[in-house]
Amino acid sequence: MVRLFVGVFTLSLCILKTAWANPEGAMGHLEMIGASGQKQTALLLDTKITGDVDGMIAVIQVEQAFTNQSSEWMHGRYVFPLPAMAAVSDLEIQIGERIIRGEVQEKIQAQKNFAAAKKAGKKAGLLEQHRANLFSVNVANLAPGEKIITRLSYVDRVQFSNDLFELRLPTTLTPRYITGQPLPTDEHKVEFNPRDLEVHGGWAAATDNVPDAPEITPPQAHSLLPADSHQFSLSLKVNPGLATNGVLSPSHAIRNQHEQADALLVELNSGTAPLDRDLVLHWQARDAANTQAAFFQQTINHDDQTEYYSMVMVTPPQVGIQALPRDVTFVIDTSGSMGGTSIQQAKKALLQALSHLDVNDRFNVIEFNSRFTTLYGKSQYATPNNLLAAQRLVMRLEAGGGTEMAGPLSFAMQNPAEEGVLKQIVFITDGSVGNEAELLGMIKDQLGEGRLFTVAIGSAPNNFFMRKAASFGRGIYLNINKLSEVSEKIEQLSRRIQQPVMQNIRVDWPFEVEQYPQKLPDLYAGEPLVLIAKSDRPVSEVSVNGELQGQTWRQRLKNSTHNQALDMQRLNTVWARSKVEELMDSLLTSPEQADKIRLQVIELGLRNQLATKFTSFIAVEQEISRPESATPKHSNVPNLMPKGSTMNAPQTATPATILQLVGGILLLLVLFWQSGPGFRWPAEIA
Amino acid sequence: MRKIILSLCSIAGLALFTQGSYIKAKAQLAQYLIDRSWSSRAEQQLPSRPWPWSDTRVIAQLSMPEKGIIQYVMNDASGQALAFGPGLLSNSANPGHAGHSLIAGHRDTHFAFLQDIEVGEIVETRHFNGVHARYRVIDVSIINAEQQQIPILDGDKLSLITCYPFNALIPRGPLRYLVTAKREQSNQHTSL
Repeated sequence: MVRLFVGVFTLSLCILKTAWANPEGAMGHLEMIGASGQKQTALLLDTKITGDVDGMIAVIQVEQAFTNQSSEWMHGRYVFPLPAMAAVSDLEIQIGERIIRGEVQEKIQAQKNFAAAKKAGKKAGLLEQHRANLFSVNVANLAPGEKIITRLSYVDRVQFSNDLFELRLPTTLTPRYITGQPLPTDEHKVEFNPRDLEVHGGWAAATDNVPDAPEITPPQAHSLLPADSHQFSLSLKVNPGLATNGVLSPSHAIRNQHEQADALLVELNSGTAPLDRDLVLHWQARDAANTQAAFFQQTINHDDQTEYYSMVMVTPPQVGIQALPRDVTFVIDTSGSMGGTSIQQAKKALLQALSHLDVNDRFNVIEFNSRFTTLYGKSQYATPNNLLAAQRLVMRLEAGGGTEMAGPLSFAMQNPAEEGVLKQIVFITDGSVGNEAELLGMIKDQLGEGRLFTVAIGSAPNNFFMRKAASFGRGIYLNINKLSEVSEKIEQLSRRIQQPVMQNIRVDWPFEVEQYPQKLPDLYAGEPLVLIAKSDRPVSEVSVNGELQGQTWRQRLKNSTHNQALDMQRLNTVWARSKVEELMDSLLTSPEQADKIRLQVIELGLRNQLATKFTSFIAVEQEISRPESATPKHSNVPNLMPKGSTMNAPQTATPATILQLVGGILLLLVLFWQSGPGFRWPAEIA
Repeated sequence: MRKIILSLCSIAGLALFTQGSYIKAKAQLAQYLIDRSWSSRAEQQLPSRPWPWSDTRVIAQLSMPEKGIIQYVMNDASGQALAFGPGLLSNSANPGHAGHSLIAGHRDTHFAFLQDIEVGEIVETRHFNGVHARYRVIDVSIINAEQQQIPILDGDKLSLITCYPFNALIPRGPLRYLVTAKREQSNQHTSL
C-alpha cells in the first residue's frame, strides 16, 4: 500500500518535473534552414560590388540590377543595408544603353517627383536613407522582361583597431524588432496611408516608437525563387599603402591577385555568393610600427578659394592592466532574431567573458527578450559559486520573443556602483531594433559614470546601433563574425577594458579649423583617434595631447608633403558625412533644435550631393515609356534572412492538463488512504 | 508520520490542481477582459489595456463565425503573451495586410479548436485599424519542428500554428499542427 503510494508519488514528481521545466510553454524554436519555405520574387535581383580602397578610404560602387520576370509592368522597392558610416554620393540608373544621372533633392520633394514620374509612366529611380545604415531604392515602370540597373556609389572609412584594418560590406539585414504601440492608421497619414502599405510592404505596422516601421521591415525569407536571384559578385582593388600579408576574410572565401606594388585585387572564390551576411575584409601591416600615426591631406581648388581637408589618425601607446575592481553587468539578447548560430555565439561570448572576472569584481547577468530577467537583484562578487550560478543560467538560454531593450538597459545603467569601482556594461546583441534613436538617447541620459561596451553578434548585425551605443556609452564595440572567433575576441575585449583609458584628449591645430568629431572620445588600448578637419590653409603640423594614468602624453604629426601616398581623395566627402553624423547626434541630445538641425542637414546634403535622412537621390527619364493601357503592379523585393538564423515558433502547449491530472491523483490517493483498511485495492494493482 | 504525509500530499495535490486550473482560467478570463476592451474601443483605435497592468497588446480579432469562435490575437508570441491569447509571430505580416501572417496559440486552450478545422472553411480576421479579411483554409498539415521549417509563403496568407498531438499530456513536443489559409479577394479594406 505504502509502496504503491510512494510509487505513484514519485511518478507524479517525474512527470511534473518535465512539465514544470517550462511553465506556460516557454519558447522552443523551429528551424528555418530547410529546403522548403521559399519566397518568390517577381523582380530578379543581381548585385555587383566593385571599388577601390586607398589607405583609409574606400570608394565602393554597388550595382543592383532588377529584372522584371513577370508579364506585367512593375514598380519595385528594395531595402538594403550599407556600412554605418557610408556617405552615398552618387546614383545613376541604366535602362539598356541609356544612363540617367541622379541628383540630390530634399526628401519629400524627391518623393513627390518620383511619384509624379511613376504616374506619368516614366522610368525612375529613388534612393532614400532610413537609418544611417539602412537604405531603400525604388524603381518605376519596368516593362515585362525589362532590366533596370541602379548604380550607387559611396565613400566609407576603413576601420582600424588593435592593429587590424577592417572593411565591412553588409548585404542583408536582421529583421528589426518594432517596439511601441501601433498607431491608428489615420494619425500618420501624411507619411503613410493604407495604399502605401502595398508600396512599402513592411511586415510591421507603424508604432509610436517607430513611426517608419513599414519602411524598414521588408519581407525576408531563407531561400528565394528563382535561386539565382540575390547573389553578388565582388571586385575590389585594395591599396593599403603599406606592406601587408594580403587581405583575409572571416566571412567569405576570397582570393587576392597581386597588382602593382602593394595593391591587390580581391574577388570571391566562388564568383558569386548569396546576399545573406556581411562581407568582412581584414588586413594587417607587416610592420605594426607603421600604423601608429598617419596624417592625410586633400586640397580642393574652387574658383575663388581653396579648401584643405586633413585626416589625422593616432594610436596612443599601451600600458599594462589596471588593478581597479570592476562591477560588470552583462546584458544578453535572447530575442527571436538571435535564433540559430547567433544565440550560440552570444552564449559562448558571455561564458568566456564571465571567466575573465576577478574575485574582487562584482557582476550581474541580465537576459532579455519581450521581458527581462536578472540573475541577481544587485551585483554580486564573482565567487566560484556565483559564477557557477551564472554559467548555469547562460547554458539554459534559448532565443525567442521580442527585443524590448529599454528595460534591461535601464536596469543595468542604474546599477549603483561603489566609489572607486569601474561600472561597466557588456551588451551582447545583434542590435536588430527599429527604435535606435530612442535607445541611444536613453544611454546618453542614464549611463552616468558607467561605460557601455557592445558585442555585435550574427551574420548581419545592426552595426550602426552597436557602434553608436558604444560611442554614446563611452566604450568600444566589437563584431563577432563566427563561433570560432569568440574566445580570441572576448579575451581581447576583456583585456582592453581593464587597461586604463586615455582621457582629456585635445588636438592643437596651428589655426582655426572645423573638426569632427568636435568632442574627442576617451581612447581604449589599441583604439586610434581618428578625426577629420576642414581649413582654408594647408596644415603643416598638428599636435595631439592626452592623459594616461596621470601622465601627459603628446604626439606631434607632420604633414610630409613629399609623401605622395598620403595625398588622399574624397576626404571632403568623409568630412561632410562626419558633419552630418555630428548633426544627427545633436538631434538626439537637443530635440528642441530639430527643425534647425534638419535644415542644416538638408543644406549639407544638397551642397555635397549626399544622401541623408532628409535628402534623397532621384533619377528620372524624361521620355514616357509605359503605355496608358498598362496597369503596373508593385513588388517588394524580399531580402534573404541572415545566414544561420532560425525562425522561431513558440512552444504552444501549457502544462495545465498534466498539472490538474497529477494534482487530482494526489488528492484521490489521500482520499483513498484516509478511508482506511476498509478500502480494498483491486487484486491486479495490489 | 502518516498524518504529515497525508497533509503534505493534500496540499501538494491541491496546489497542483489549482495551478493547472489557474492556467486554463487565466486563458479564459484574459480573453473575456480583452473582449470587453475591444468592444468598447473607439473605431480604428487601439483598444485600451484589458486590465490595468497588462503589458501585452491586442492587435486583431480572429474568428470563425460559423463555429462561434472569437479569439483575440496578441502582438507577441512569447510564453507570457500566449497565456492570454494566440500571438502573432514577430517578423510576420499583420492579419489582413499584405504578406504571410503567422499566429501561434496553445493547443490546450485558445487553439484547441484548430483540431476541428477542415479545408475549405473560412477564418476571418479584423485588425484593430479596421482592416477585415476572409481567409479560406487551403491546407492542414503536421510538421516536425525539429526537422522542418514553417514555410513562408508568397501572397496574402494566414497560418495558424499549435502543438500536436492535441491531447498529449506532456508539453514541449516537436510536432506542430499547421492550418494554412489563403486570402479571399473580396472585402479588401472594408472598415468597421
